[in-house]
Amino acid sequence: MSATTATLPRAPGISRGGALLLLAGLAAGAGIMALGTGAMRIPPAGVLRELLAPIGLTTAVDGAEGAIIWTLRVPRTLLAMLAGAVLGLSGAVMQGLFRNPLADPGLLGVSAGAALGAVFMIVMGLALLPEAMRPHATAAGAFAGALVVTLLVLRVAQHEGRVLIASMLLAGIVFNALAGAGTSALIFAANDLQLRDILFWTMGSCAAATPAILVATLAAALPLLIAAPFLTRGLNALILGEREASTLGIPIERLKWGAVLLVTLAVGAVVAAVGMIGFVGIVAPHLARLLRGADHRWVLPASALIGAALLPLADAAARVLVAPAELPIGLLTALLGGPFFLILLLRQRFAVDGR
Amino acid sequence: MITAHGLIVTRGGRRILDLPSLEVARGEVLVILGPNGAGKSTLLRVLSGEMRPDAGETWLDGRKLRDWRAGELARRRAVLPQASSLGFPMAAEEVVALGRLPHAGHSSRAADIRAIEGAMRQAGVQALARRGYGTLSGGEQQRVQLARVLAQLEGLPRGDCVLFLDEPTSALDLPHQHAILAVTSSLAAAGMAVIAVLHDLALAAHFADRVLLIADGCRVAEGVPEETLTPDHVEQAYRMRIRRVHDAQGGRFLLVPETKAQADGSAGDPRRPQYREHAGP
Repeated sequence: MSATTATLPRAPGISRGGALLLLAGLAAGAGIMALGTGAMRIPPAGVLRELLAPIGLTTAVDGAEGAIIWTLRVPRTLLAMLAGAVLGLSGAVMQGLFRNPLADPGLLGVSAGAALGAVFMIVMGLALLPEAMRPHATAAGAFAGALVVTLLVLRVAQHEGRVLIASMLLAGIVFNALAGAGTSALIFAANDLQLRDILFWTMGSCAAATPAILVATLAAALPLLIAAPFLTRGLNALILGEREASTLGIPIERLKWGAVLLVTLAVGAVVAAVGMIGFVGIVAPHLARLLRGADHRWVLPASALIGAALLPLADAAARVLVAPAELPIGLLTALLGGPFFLILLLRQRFAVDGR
Repeated sequence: MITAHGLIVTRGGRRILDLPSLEVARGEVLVILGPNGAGKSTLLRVLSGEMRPDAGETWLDGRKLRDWRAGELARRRAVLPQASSLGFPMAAEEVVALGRLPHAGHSSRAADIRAIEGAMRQAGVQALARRGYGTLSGGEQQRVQLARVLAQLEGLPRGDCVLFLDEPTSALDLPHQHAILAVTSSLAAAGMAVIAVLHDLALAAHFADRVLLIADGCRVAEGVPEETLTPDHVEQAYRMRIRRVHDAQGGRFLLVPETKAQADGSAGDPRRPQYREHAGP
């Protein structure tokens, strides 16, 4: 897939560093907005006052609002930001690895595996587990399912010590289908109550956010977040092609294994925590490349920040649009992301035709 | 500079490369020639360290290739493959800048910028710097890739570097072919070893200090073009009869297929299978 635009996006004015700062500000703003949004509206100034109170810069707002912010909205908003960052970053890494702007972690079976694990827990596992282990059992099942399926895909795609990208894609399709079949079989066996749980899990939600889930997700995402700067060189070289990258001294096989494992760990945890949230992983890197080009030193952090700005906004919208009920966040990202993506596709097609 | 011994590569039970020895000196241009499937690209990949042979060893500067670390090797040798497309849109100068990746942490930002500019000047692509790579013609793209490869070796002593070209000119028109080979010749003149796989015998005869003619993975002939690219050697490799046509002005020669009339003139020669059926009474 080669270039389709005659002049490359390289807006004058602010540098990439400046643009990253701007995106970080955007993400922070989205977070503050999300913290103030819900059944009880709190203006941004109030949110800031409350957030800065513990370090003594301001005095706390009244008790009820403070409690709502700290116990309900902070874990939830932070989880949404973390999930958005991980999904955006992982999308960018997978697209770079596959040299394809349509790739996302789902290709490797992360989502299908997580769904299988979660549905298995809901239908079969919960009854078997002791009471104390039940609250996080679905998430644990989803995480395990994501890891198992992706490792199987990697294993099958490996041939003579090399992971072939095309084989990885094909193996991903096979295991996606198999995991999907397993999930369907479990759903077939489920009772009405379980079906409801499954349905809600599938559509994704940040409502279950607790400090424990937030910390567990962060722990699984941390390796990817820390390693991302070290992936940029290899991913940039891969833009040229696998052969070119290896003659530039990039250890391609290590890059593939490392990137896929880091992404699986992080996305597996995110899907386990918030369910299936589509399109962020594709839309965020696309936006990043539209803004400042394909250099991964820019695309990776920008995708993470765009994701971290998008998801808290989507989550806030999910909370208020049909209040007092709550929309599934996955529904919103698909509803907004779908048309956006369609516009991108059509524009790209016109750009090709217009040459 | 590069020495190889007993190289053997086997694929699917078939020996696709079997070369007892090869040596390339500093400042030398070696061109590997042979028909499709002769093992030219395999040999180039083995010599450049991209592929491990099943048997045999290659040394760069007296050190086994497999003892070189990938990053270290990338600061001594560069490979220009056939024209390729990018995974994502990039400007030409961004592509050239990727050639500096192996130097991260080994070279200053100013040196990198100098290297990129120098490489683009040598490859004659400064005017294309801000153009999208995908909007360039095949020949321009390949010259940008050449600049990328030059940027990789820029700032190093020319005599320490090896440049590999894997059919770099196959899809290019005459001026672009010559532009690319002229640049590599000048690098060789400055001491760089150049190893190229080419398809065009005349082009090879023009640019090579030495040619290696292979067929079915084995050496057919090796030496200076004048003595190596003889009709007999070429026929042995390509199973096709050619004639040499000498250029009255330059002392160079061209290799042209024998025409049917010429072949008919010597009908009955069993070495010319493709003409035999037409060579009846």
